[in-house]
Amino acid sequence: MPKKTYVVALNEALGEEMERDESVFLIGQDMKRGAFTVTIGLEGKFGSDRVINSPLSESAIAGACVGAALMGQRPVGEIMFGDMLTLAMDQIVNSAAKARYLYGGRNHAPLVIRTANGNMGRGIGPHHNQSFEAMFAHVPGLVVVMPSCAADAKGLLKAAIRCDDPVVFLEAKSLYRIKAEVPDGEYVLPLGKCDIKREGSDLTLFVTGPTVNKALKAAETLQAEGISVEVIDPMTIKPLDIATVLKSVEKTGRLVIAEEANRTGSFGSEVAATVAEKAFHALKAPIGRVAAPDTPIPASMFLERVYMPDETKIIEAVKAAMK
Amino acid sequence: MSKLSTEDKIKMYYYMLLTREFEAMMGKLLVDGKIDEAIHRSIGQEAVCVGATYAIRQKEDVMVPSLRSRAAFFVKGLDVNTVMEAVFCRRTCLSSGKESSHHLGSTEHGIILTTGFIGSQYPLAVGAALALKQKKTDQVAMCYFGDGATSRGDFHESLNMASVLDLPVVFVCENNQVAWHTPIVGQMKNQDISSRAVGYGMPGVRVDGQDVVAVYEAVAEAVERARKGEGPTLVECVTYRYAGHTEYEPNWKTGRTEEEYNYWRERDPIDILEKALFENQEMDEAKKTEIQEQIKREIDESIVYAESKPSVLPEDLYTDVYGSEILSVLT
Repeated sequence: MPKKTYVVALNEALGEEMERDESVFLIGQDMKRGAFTVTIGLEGKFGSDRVINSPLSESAIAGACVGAALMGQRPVGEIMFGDMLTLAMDQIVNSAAKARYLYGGRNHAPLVIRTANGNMGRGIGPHHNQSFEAMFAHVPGLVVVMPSCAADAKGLLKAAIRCDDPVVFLEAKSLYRIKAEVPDGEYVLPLGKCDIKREGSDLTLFVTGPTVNKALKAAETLQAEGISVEVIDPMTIKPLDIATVLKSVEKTGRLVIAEEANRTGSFGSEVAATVAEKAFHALKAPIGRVAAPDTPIPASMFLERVYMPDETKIIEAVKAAMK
Repeated sequence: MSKLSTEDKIKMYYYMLLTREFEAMMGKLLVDGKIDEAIHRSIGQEAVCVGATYAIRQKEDVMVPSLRSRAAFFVKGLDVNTVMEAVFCRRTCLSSGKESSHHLGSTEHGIILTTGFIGSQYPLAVGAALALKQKKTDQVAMCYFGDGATSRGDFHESLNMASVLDLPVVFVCENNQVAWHTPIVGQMKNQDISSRAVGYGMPGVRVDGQDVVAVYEAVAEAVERARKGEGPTLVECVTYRYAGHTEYEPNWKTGRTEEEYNYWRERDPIDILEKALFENQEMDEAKKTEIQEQIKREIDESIVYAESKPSVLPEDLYTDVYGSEILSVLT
């Protein structure tokens, strides 16, 4: 299978969907190239009518996506960094998320807000590394997607563009330049379905976004020590396919949740609460959680490494749950 | 730009009076406990939405209302029954009971569902105009907002984006010189809102908001420009609100002086048009009575209509959060 970077996979998804459907267009800042070359070449191919370069205005970008979507277009708006979604919060939460509901179903807002999300691991500081999936998962009407690898990124972005509901698409920017297997040819992944990335029998490891790779490496290490870990990647954070998670926990009896975001009110806390609510009697050990501490992300790369959940912390949590 | 005929002006008179009487009836229904809506009366400023909406195409052009744009809904083609059905929050209304009647969207009538936040509506109009430009039609978008709403960041971002991208959108400010209790001097240092247009490289026009014909003419010119691909305009209509921000206001003159209020009360937009129509012999007492009776009949019938429609059910709470496709495999 060919190997492509996450960025190339996204670029292919955008190009394919724009080819397939005239109503798909892009809007964002610096779209000729993009901060990370995700959109490179698309303006040349599709023209400036469909690859729109916006002034530095996150709220207007997101709100314009809503207005255009309500008129029958399928906008894909880019917010440069996941942290900056906070600048577009009102339009995403109050306009995009509620459109279908407040029209009584008579209209809807098919749009994607995609962003370079999460920790970069390069010391780019407190305002360029955050991961707010929990905040958006909290809002009724939004679809929240976190692709954990290049192949998923392509299939999920195509699905997001075809989805008739507003999608917040959180790309794992720490994986942007990493080459991984991406199938050639047309494929679309399902929204609202977990992907079991690795089957196992001793413990369920529920993990999101870029932390999935760390979890898979941890699972390899643990396998060598005789611990069989089942790695579940939800792909779609909201709506969550909780059935797959519950089925796994009923099988293994142990759960560790690993994520990049700050601990308090994280998306993992929702998963922990739901599993405790619905599969309490299947649990043989307390639910383990691996998340970032409740601090901002410092610019010092040394402190950033102290902050970030990693393979070691995941292995520790799994072993604690195996006691 | 076509000149207004007698028939046009009489229609505009009808729309202004309809809006006023409709909202007066809403006030009565609220007191009687028949409706829940927190009414935002547009009494005193009817000429702005009537004059401006009359300048766009009823079906094809697109409008984003403000919180006080009820007249615009009627001019855009929503009939009295449909609006009253939404006032009564019926299951069958345009929002299926999920939104207030002053925020409604209707794709069929070119009305974009607006936001509940003052000053968050501009990007919706910008996006709509963007879609219209992409579709290569000569349709235009119109965005309504008040003076207070121009203090929000979205105002700046949206007018800036609209001008940079040369979008076919007309921004119509209903400057009633007060935002809740805050008079305009508390809202901005330079009270000429139209003068901000310079900053965005677009034309800025300031017009007497009590004169429905003047509003129409100023907006029609801006609409023509947008239709020809010449980009957006900021039209500021100076008007006045004869009631409180909402119906629940005991001291609704707060923020305004008695003299100021009296000055503007003398400049009632309905009286101004009526006087002009009588003077030009375009309307007489008989016609006026006919219109008043028509309005009364339409409003009374709309209440019967609305009350005959089904009420919302508990299970309606859960519908239309997502479309059904979300859970199906898309390959």
